[in-house]
Amino acid sequence: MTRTSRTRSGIRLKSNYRPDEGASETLKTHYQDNLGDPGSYPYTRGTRDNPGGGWIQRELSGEGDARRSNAQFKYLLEQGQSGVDIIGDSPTQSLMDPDHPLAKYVIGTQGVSLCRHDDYRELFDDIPIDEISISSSGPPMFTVASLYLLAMERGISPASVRGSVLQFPFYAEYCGYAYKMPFDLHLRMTCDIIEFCSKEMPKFHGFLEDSYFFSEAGLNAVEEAALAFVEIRHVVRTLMKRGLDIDSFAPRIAILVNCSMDFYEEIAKIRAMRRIFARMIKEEFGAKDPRSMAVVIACHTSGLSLTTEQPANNIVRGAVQTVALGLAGIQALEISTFDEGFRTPSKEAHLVGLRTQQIVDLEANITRVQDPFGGSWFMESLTDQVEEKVLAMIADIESRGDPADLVTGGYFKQFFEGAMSRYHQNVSSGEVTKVGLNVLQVPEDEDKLLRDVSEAKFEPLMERAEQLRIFKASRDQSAVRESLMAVFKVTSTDENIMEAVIGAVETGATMGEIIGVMREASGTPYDPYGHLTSPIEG
Amino acid sequence: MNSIRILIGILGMDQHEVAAVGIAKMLRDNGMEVIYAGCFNTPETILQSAIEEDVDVIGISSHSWEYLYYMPELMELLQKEANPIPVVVGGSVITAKDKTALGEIGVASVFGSGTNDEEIIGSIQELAEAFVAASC
Amino acid sequence: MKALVDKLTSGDVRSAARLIRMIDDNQPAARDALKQLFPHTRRARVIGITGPPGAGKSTLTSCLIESARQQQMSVGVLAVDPSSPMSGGAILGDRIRMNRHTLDKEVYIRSLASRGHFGGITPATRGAIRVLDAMGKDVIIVETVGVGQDEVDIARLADTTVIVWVPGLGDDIQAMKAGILEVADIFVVNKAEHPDAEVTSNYLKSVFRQEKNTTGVPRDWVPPVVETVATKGWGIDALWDVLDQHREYVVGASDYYVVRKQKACRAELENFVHQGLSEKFTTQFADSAMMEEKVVQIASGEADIYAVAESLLAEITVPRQHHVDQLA
Repeated sequence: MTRTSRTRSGIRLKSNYRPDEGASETLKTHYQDNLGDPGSYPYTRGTRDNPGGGWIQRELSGEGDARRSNAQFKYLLEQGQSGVDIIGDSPTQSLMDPDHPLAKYVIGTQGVSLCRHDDYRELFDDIPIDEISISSSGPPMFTVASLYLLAMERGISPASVRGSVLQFPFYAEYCGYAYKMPFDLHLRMTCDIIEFCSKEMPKFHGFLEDSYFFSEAGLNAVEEAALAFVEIRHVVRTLMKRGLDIDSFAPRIAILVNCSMDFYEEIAKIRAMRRIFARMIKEEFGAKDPRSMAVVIACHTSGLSLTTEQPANNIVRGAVQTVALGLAGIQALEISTFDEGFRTPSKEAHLVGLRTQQIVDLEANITRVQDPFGGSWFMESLTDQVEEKVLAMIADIESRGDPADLVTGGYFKQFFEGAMSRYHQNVSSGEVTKVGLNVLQVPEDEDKLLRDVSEAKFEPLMERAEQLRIFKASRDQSAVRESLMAVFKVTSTDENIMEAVIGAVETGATMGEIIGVMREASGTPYDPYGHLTSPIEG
Repeated sequence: MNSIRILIGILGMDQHEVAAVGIAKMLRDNGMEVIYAGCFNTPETILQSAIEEDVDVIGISSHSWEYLYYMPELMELLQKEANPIPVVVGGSVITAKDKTALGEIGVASVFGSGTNDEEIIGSIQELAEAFVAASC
Repeated sequence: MKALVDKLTSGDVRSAARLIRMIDDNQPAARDALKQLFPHTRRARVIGITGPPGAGKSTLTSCLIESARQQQMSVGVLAVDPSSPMSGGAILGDRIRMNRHTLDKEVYIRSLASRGHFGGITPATRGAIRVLDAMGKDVIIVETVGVGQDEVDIARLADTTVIVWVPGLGDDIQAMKAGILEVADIFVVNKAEHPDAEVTSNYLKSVFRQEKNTTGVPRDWVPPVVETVATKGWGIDALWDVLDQHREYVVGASDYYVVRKQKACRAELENFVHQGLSEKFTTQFADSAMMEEKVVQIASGEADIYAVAESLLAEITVPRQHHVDQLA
């Protein structure tokens, strides 16, 4: 068993830190430039001055159909959850309808099955979408379209809807959410959604950069932040090329970061990211509005840091990560629950996750003092070092060519593959310590605690495929076809796609159909898996 | 013996590819020819690919439960072959109960997240040799 | 063996797969089978696809499969990738991009590792082409990673050689010009949405005008440059058109192609003879006591290495008269 003297990104740790650390000498003289009070530029110490304000406490929900997931929401809200967060099952995340042949054994097992507006109606039934924050880890385009329609149906203004959708155009294809569409179409969808939200749903974060999911390939803190910024920068440049004012959309950029067990470095990462973002948006992209410079940071704690051995240990990991995040200052949090290695969260695990957040927040009173590490010789030095490495890596990646070419050329794919194998090597060599996995193991027959909950399985909702077929047959076919044709046509132009998509969603066209015709309009097969034929063919 | 040929693939909508790629590289670095079939396979595409590639072993990587539904289908298809290609399964979500169930339907080896490389290589070599001997 | 050959020529996938493995593993029985297959070959149209890694060759191949199938042609694909020089192993991942054709009974896809043969194309590839040919495939697509020498090698195998290029690699082309230009029948500029695509296309066209070749026969086919975006299926029809034009041209017995083909046959023949001699030597002498004895004598200075080599060569070379009788 070794105690490492380096952070996961390779920064050397000293045994103690003294007032003569590089960063420490300028703490007073450059306080405003480098740190600033919480709520003031460059936001190193936090984007808001809100002592004791805590964070939006939520747990990632979604299993089975929309009705079952709606019940999960309500249960968690009753238990004190302050926002909801939804994730789709793998077909949903991959923009595939549940009646697709590849979907049959996985409908509703790893998230909720969503593919039409009726599903979203059921999902948010009795949920006040203008009062609590709606975070969606599901398909951004359809979440936005349905929330917009839902607001209209309920007679509330879409402008009052708060929440966020995750965006991941660069890395999705390689990290578990294959869209199977040309990269430029994926990027265009991302930009269309952001543009639409900035105009129609200005309180809604149309751009929650998702660095969580790709960093789960085993990236360290520096790599995670650098890749997040490379993506953000490209999206921002693309939007500005469209003629959008940076201050029209930048206030609604947020970042969903990961949090591993590398306690100090994770805190330094978040502080450094706030500062990098603020300076970048102001100095490089010319923002004037302070709200554009203050980036909201949400977090999902690392599933990769957990073990399937002794699931109860994962509760402790979640608590330690929550403390780190409380100290770093974040706006929203979901804990990867103790059964993460086995399944989407059980009811029991959901409650433990939520209670962990509540205990850290309410009992330990951890957010009462903001950025308590501020001015620490050690933490300021580490923040500077992380920042320096992140900036160097962004510059290195961007020097390799147009980031879009790097995506299509497979640069990032190789990067993720390399990171994963490095991570596995580090775990098997013991360089990354994992209690119960590579040290301090217990025999299998003694590893019983919480196993029953963790290993409990539920059946895929296979009947949903048939239900959907019946639904599809019951629609106004000519209206559906016409609305799909409209999506097809607008995809071939430079116009924003959202209006046509909302129109199609309203007629009952499904996600798989809408995405399929978008793929077709860009020259790729309606069904990239080769099983279905297009409803607008001929 | 000439290079062992092994097909590695993932079934259904499971898109956790990095581990499968990692294993593929490890096997390559130990002299094997890995035909990497990636994600979005069905039992039919796995079997057809394995036949066309004349592999000695089929390896299924799994990180979600759906393989539990697909595996019996795959094993049933294989049993119709004159000399069924041996199948191994590796993944992070395989419980002790799953392991037993997989053994019962004829899966030759199951590798959990803790399995070391030597064990995986040894098992594949043994299965490949037995398969080649049986097909001569 | 006869049973295997009979099944194979009636299109049996398992037999074809097994025979390709035997060829790849260099089993002596494979050669007998290939001899029996010979009367059933030379029907298929062989298209070589090569180019640098990441050029989109497999995606393009998948598009060509799709087109060929729409034209009711059956397809065989050989996807050759390099073996690791360190371990001898390989990861062969080209199937992924062609996955949607896996269950099509008229499509056979086989991945091959180069197994130490520089240039990607192995003697096994030639054998595998004949297997697919004998199986009755109308079109055989051979896909290799081009790193210089391969382009020359692939041209020995293919009726039409397509070199896939991507915008932004212009300078490298200069370096590999000699090899590339002579073998390219068609140039594809893939990922043609890239802003530099036009520059690349124009550059290639200009390069072809200055072409020299080593066949000694002037070439009257100017390789066309086709722009594609394989991920979107753009330009595939145009590619088929020039593939067809080139086929007509080759069938029309261009002197250039006759000479090029003869050069290819000579190279393959020489290769077989070298291989045969080397095997004969190995089986007759490599582990023999006589050889051991000679080695000891050479090492101690008792024997002359040149004289020993000459005598061994004489022993494995069959007398000329005997040879002629056999041929007669």
